Amino acid sequence: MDDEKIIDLYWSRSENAISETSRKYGRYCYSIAYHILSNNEDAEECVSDTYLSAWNAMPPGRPAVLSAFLGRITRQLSIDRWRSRSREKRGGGEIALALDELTEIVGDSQSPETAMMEKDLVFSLNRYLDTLSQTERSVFLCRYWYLDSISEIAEKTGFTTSKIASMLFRMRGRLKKQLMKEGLL
Amino acid sequence: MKNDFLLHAIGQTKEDYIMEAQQLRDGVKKPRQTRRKPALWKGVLIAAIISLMTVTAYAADFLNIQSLTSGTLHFSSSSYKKAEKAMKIAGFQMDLKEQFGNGYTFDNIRVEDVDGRDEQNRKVLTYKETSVTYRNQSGYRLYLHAYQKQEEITQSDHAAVQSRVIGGVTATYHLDHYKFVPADYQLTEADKLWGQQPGNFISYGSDLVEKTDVSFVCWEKEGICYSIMDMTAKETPDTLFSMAAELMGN
Repeated sequence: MDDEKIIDLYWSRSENAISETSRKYGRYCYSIAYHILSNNEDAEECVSDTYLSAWNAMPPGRPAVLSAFLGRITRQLSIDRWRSRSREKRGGGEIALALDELTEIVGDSQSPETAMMEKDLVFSLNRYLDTLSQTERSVFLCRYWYLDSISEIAEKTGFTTSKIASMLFRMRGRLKKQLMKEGLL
Repeated sequence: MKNDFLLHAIGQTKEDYIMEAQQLRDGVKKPRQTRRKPALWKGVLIAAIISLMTVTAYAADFLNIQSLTSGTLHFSSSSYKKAEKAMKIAGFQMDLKEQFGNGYTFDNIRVEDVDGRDEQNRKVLTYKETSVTYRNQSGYRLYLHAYQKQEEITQSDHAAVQSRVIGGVTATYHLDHYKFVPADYQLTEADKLWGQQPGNFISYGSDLVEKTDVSFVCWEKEGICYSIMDMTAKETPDTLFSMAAELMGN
């Protein structure tokens, strides 16, 4: 079923909306959640919560790209769950490593964490991504959006892990430079 | 700012880029090269013909373009209301319809780069193309492609099967025959002879050997090159010509 029809099902409050979403995007959402949580049960619960959030968001929402819309929800729910799990017992996995890498960018920045600041940050990130080649951009987002491991990215791109690691290092450096220049750090 | 604030902000970046990265995760590879110069396809390098987005562009010798491949995806939407935005991003206006008289209805619109590459796979040409998918009631799809005329590119390098003049514009109907073969496939003598015939193309990179016919009607109007493509040549030339006429406002 095409995305517009699935969205229509949400708008008409048809329960088929969730089954059709699950059929088309269940695996996609699960893969995002599992990469963050490394736990089958938690990942499945996050995917179920994604459908619930989507149900609550549509209407009034009408996403332009349904897959990205669902993926974003799954990602955020999974990160939230990882955080609450970490409070009890320090969780590991790719997210912990990715966060360590992102620390290189933010350093000891004391800039405020407000909604306005986040908006500016997202604009700046998009501008930064615009400057990257398609391959660089995908590598960056596989690592920091999908939280894929460096070895998984290497396998998908055909590059060596050291090349991926060095690409990411350079991209973090360039991003830091841009954020500093724009007064966001 | 803490690292998880940045991680959260990364989560809000452009949808197109997120889906672009997902393509990499899915293992979708872009086609690198086709054996025969005019054989061109873009999209996913698999045997499934549905992924074939456009064919039969021909790159002029002076640029030594050996293949045309899909580049950066700039915009994608399944809403007709976003068509104006798509055209703004593409940088040109095109004739477009939400629904044709024969029932084909707008399904989605995309704007992406087409990259022309030389023998060393270096990018020597890039232009934007708008692709619109139409579906009929039974779910069958036709594809409308449009791009600003490029001196280096023509829409077909061999004679048309039919041509018609519609409102002063000449539209031509072409029928191409494709044979998709695995990357390590050894061509037989019969394959070689077949591949030398006008309108026959051999493309490497599929999982299995598959043959399919692709038909399309193309025309140029006000500096914009259009084609309506039927990936399995199911529709008649009359159907494609009538859709072209509707698009031209005739």
